[in-house]
Formats: sequence, structure tokens, C-alpha cells
Amino acid sequence: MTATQGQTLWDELHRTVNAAREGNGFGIQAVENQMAGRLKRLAASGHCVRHAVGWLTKESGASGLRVLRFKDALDGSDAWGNPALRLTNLRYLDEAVLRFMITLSERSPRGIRAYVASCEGTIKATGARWHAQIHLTEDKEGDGGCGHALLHCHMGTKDAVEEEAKIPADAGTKKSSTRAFSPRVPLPWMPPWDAIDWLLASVEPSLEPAPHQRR
Amino acid sequence: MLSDGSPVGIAFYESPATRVDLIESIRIVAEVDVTETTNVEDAFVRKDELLVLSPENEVDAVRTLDGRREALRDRTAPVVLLLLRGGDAERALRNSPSLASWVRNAEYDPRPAALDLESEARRFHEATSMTPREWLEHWRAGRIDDTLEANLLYQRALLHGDER
Repeated sequence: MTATQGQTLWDELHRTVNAAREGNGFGIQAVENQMAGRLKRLAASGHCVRHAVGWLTKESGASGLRVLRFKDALDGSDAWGNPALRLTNLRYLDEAVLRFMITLSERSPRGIRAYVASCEGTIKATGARWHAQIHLTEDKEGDGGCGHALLHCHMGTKDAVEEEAKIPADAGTKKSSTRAFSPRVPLPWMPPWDAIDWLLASVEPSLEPAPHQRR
Repeated sequence: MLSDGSPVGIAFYESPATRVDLIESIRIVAEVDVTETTNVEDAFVRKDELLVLSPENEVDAVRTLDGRREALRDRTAPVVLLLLRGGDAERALRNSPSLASWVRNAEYDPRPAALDLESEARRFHEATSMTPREWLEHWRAGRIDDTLEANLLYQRALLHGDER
């Protein structure tokens, strides 16, 4: 990716992510199939319960918006106490869980409006709590496209995840709120199922979807 | 649908463009190999295979399966008939009582469940003390921290309609 004249790299990143998330390929059934395929492979390799695919649910909101997520009755919970899919037999993490939520529009402009994919767990080597969260929002957020790219990842250990979990969802609207320090790693476009692949390959190398062919 | 025990199941698709997604969905959920066919006669011959039947003439397929229902009893794996939602074949199915009674508990409708937006809005208010629209205004003004929980709430707020 090269920035054209008058544009920063971050402007160009914003433009390419915005363009890539639109399109007819992101209908709710196609998106569900992609996520179900990941869960089926995850289950087949013994890293989650066999019936995880059955925990997917999709809902229809106003204005042609659809959401795909896990049902509320799951076998694990995250740092916020929210239901999450329990992950087992990972090389690097114990007590790990996976969450995601995808919102897409089946009306113009079609495509993925927002998504969250997150993984957290306890690092086996240190006992610290670790988390990674990938966020896609619909438009510019924060102070700029460098510090707050459209698609970005928060990643950190114990303090960050625990402190962030203490912040209520409406904290920013209250005068006494403490704002979390949680830097964002800017990401190139990846649809949510590839984001899940990346999260899983990071915590369990055998789940690498694009293994190197070594000579 | 696949575990109901009925020799015939019905899966509805919304448009020809989404039929391929529906077939893929059945492939993912099935625990065995899936055979795609357009020939309704396969339902009476290939009895041990999980068949996904997407006939060129869906009305004729419904009538054939209805008329020869007894010959399907000894199928060991179901045949899943794909029908266009709201099409002539769906109406034909409703007028085919013997087949319709078989598939009553073996229908798969892949449409997302419609959210009850009123009760969702109430739950949202209980969690945030704001309406979804108010919350989105705060979010877009950068007054809400970029946490996991807030990003999930953001998506729930979007579902109430977005009038920016």
C-alpha cells in the first residue's frame, strides 16, 4: 500500500479498508458459513466443544442490518463476565475464550459495517492474563487514522484487560471516568473470519491457516 | 432438520444468488458427505446418501415427492429439497398434505430472527442509561472508551436503525 500525493499512509489505509468491506459477498448466510467453517475446524482439532457451530445465532435489525454472534448460553465467560466460547488445549494459553460479533448490511451499501473478534486467556509461561481484540467500526473514530485506524487490534496483559473490564460502557459520558490506555495496532483489511484465524494461529500454532512450505 | 429422522427435509433460500450459500451451510452442518443433485429421481435411488436436491422445476419436484412418498420411507439418509422462499413450489408444498406433514419438523429457514427492537431498546437503556441513538451520539463524539464491551454495545445500537 502506497499513499498517493497529498494523502498520508493512514488516509490510504482508511480508504482501502472501507472499500474492501463492501460488496455482495458479505451476505449473512455467507458470513455465517465462514464462521461456522472456522468453528467446525476448531472443534475437529479438539480446541472447543463439538457443537459450537450450533451456538451461532443471527438476528435482523432495522434498515437491513444483520448481526451474527454467539448465543448467550455458552461454556465460558470473558473478563467482563459475558458469555464466550471456551477454548481448550492451546499451546500458549489456559482458561482461554473467544468472542465475536459481526454487523453487516444487506441493503446498500452492502457489506460489513462493524465487527469485534476477541480472544483472551492466561499465559501458561507467566500466569498473566492476556487479551487481543480486533475492532472494525463504520467510520473515523478517535483523534486520527494513525492512532485509531478503522480496523485495529488492542493487545495486552493482565493490567490492561482487567482495568478495561472495570470501565462501564458509558464511562466516557461521566465526568469522573478514567479513560483506558490501550494503544491500537492498525490492521490492513481482513474479514472477521480471517481475524479469527489470526487470533487462533497466535495462540495455537497448529491452527495456522497458511503454513510455510519449508524446503 | 438433518437430525429430525424424516426422510425429506426442506430448506428455503431467498434468491438464486443465496442458494449456493445455503448448500454450503448444509455441507458445513452435516456430519457426512453431501451429494448435490438436480434430479428428483435420485431421491428414490440414492437412498443412503445425504442428498441436496435443487431441481430446475421445484413445483414438479414437490409433486413427485408428494405423490411417491411411500417409496421414500426406507431412505437411510435424508434428501433436502431446496425451495425458493415465497415461490410457486412453497405454495405447492402447502397444498401437498402428505409431504407437508412429513417435513413439518424438518424445515430449515436460514433467515435471521427479527429482533424485538422495543425490548432490546429497554435492555439497552438498562445497561447504559441511554437510548441507542443517544449512545451512538456519545460514541461518535469520542466520549465513550474504545473497549470490547463498548464495541459490542455499538453494534447493538446500530441494529436500532442508523439515521446519521
